[in-house]
Amino acid sequence: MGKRHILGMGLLLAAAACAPTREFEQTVDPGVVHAFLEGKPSVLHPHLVVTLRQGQRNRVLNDMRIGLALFSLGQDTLAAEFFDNALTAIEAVYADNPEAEKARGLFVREVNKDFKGEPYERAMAYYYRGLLYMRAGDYENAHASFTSGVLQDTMAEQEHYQADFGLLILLEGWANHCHGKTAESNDLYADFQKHNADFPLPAEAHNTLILVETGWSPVKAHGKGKEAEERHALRFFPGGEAEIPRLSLPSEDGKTLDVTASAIEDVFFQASTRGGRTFDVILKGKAQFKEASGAIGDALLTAGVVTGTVAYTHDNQSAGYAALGMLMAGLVAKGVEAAVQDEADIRYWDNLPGTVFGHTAFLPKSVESIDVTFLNTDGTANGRTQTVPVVTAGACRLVWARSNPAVPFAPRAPFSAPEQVMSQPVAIPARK
Amino acid sequence: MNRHAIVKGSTVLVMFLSASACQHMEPAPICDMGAIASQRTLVSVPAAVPGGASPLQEMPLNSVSITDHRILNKVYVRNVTARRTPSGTVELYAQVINCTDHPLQTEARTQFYDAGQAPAEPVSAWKRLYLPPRTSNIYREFSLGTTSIHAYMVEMREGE
Amino acid sequence: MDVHSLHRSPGNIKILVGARLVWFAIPVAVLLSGCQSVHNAAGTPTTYNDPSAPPPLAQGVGIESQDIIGMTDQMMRDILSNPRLAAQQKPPRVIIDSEYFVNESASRINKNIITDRLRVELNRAAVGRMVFVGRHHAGMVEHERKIKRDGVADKGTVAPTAAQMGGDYRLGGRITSQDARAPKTGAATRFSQITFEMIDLESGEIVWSGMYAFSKSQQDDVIYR
Repeated sequence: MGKRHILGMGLLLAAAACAPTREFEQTVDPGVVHAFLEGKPSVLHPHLVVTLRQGQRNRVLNDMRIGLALFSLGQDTLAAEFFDNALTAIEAVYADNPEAEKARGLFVREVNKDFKGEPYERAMAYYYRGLLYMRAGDYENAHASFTSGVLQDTMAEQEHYQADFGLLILLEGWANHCHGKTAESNDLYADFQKHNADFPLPAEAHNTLILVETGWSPVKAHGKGKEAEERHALRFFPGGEAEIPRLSLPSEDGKTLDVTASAIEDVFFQASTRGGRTFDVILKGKAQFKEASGAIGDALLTAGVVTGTVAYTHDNQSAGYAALGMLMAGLVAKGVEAAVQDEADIRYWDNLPGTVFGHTAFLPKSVESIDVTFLNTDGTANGRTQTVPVVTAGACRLVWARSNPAVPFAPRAPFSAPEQVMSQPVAIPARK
Repeated sequence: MNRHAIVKGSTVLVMFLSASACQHMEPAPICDMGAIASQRTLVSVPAAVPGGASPLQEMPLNSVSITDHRILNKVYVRNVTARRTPSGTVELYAQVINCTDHPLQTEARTQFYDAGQAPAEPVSAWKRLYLPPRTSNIYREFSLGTTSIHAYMVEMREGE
Repeated sequence: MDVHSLHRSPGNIKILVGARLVWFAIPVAVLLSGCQSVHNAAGTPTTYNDPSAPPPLAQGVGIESQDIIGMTDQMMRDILSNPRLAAQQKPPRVIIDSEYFVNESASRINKNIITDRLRVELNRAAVGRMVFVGRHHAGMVEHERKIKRDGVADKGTVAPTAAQMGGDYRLGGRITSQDARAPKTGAATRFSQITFEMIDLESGEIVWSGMYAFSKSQQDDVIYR
């Protein structure tokens, strides 16, 4: 191979090594930005600007985190719009998508693909869409959402973790209960009990479902090997401890019943029990290729330096050429090592809760709100109390509370842009 | 019988037996595509201007026209019949045969015409027909109108 | 630069490599800086699709436009061929809405898209063979009747009736589905079944039934598995 060819290859590999432009944020016309922000809560304006600037690659991720924030702010119509957009993309089949094809290549990172989330994130998107249907009194579509969420959870490697998303199974049953389908709901409650035997099942007379979300979302990170970080490995870590909610439930005779809500679902458990992804095998292959290229490059560079030294000492022109060839080949191999992109995609939905607690009860129409007190994991009070409204929709009532804010602190989702972009402030462009 | 004659005779016998062993029985349906193609009627249909020549030489009324070259030599329409239902609408049946050893999906739709051969109603929606290997299935469609219906034309294509 | 002159002494190898590296590094730097430019490419422009064909850009396993058009067309033609409903001396009064059309499937759907299409198409095709009662507009009718009778509005041109029109038959139905997944391959199959029934509102007899069923499979790209 001629030196020019070697250099050409080096150039190509170096070009391949750079992050594709779709990983960077795009400039959006201020008119488009302001039209998009119109009528949406100002607290989410920076997040919404990021959504526009990050485009299709992060559309699902941004729609889910903004949808959840809007849901917590009581903007149900807007929240439904965002979740519908996210779910439409999740349900779309990427069978011949060019960006997906690129992400399978050696020189493009997985993060280049359009985000569709891991199964636990997709399932949680269906969970919130289902709650939105419930708050609108549409228990049929709520049931359809929860069912679709359970189906997302069938990808687990080990059979006993497949379709074990107890929260969604319980809610399928509750949606049926509110729609007057007692037999169907009892079947689903029985299925739910296989996954969570401790939760007290809803009684036929119960009309209110209380859901309290505490803790922080699971965190995605690269794996750690014996010696160094294994960037091809996707790992999950718990986001932190989840507080325990204590509920004060008023009754018609003026008395109040204090009960501790029971845990329905641990979101970290769902994230971490999925097991290995099919794509992990491809990433591992990329990592092995990268490692081999690096080793070959090191060997060639060392040999080139040694040969060069010998050539210099003995004034041997042939050895000099040989040394040059080895150095160039070594550089190319090192270029390949640098260009191979083996790291796993660790973008994640960061405003999810860690644990979902729940309780069902009969609350008379006169009760319009309940008090939720948060306890530390050891049962001690931490002084935080919320008064949460009871929403009546159709035959049932729903209470939804959350210990931590659902509006994300940062306008950008973690790892949703290259490092140098993540730290940039998000400015809302002035109107033209 | 000399040795040479025995060898010759044996060779002929072996060849005959081999030839008979090679006889291959095709399961039904056996579709002779050449014969099917020769049956395709070429008709001059009424043109836009009375008396003028029609640019369309095929797609006669009261028949099934296969409009997709991908299934032209794969399916055979055995018959097409139509009858009046008790409510006065027209019900048509077309028996479609999959001549291949592979599963096929076709789609068909019907345009019903009045006595003047003008469309009597909107064309029906495409209806999918599932045809396992070497099987037949029935395409069935109802008209919306009753006494106004005098003719029909079915278009068939591969189902995607 | 005379390259051959550099080869005279092995000590010059370093210089050569250095020179080559500069030659190599400059375009690489240019390329790397080019990575951060605006992705100045056109998006997908809005296009009109044939709603009776599978959507070209996104397909799933749920109920799609071509299914809705196919099922409503089939049901409409089937209903008009039923003598109990479409060949009576006195046209029967029919209510078609989503009130008793239940979704028990895994597909999120606005059921009105099916029942509205069926009612509108059927009403246009029936041309008097059936009479359609707008029960979903009952509130609107009641309000108008009240203000006419209260004298707020005049009587209009249509003769007043003692009450709103009662229905003879009403549509009921159910959307159900059965899903199957292959965890290893990510392949998903959904069998969807949509049943339609016309119920006699006096006796409860089911005077007509129709069914539309289909099964769809999909497999996502390996990067999502």
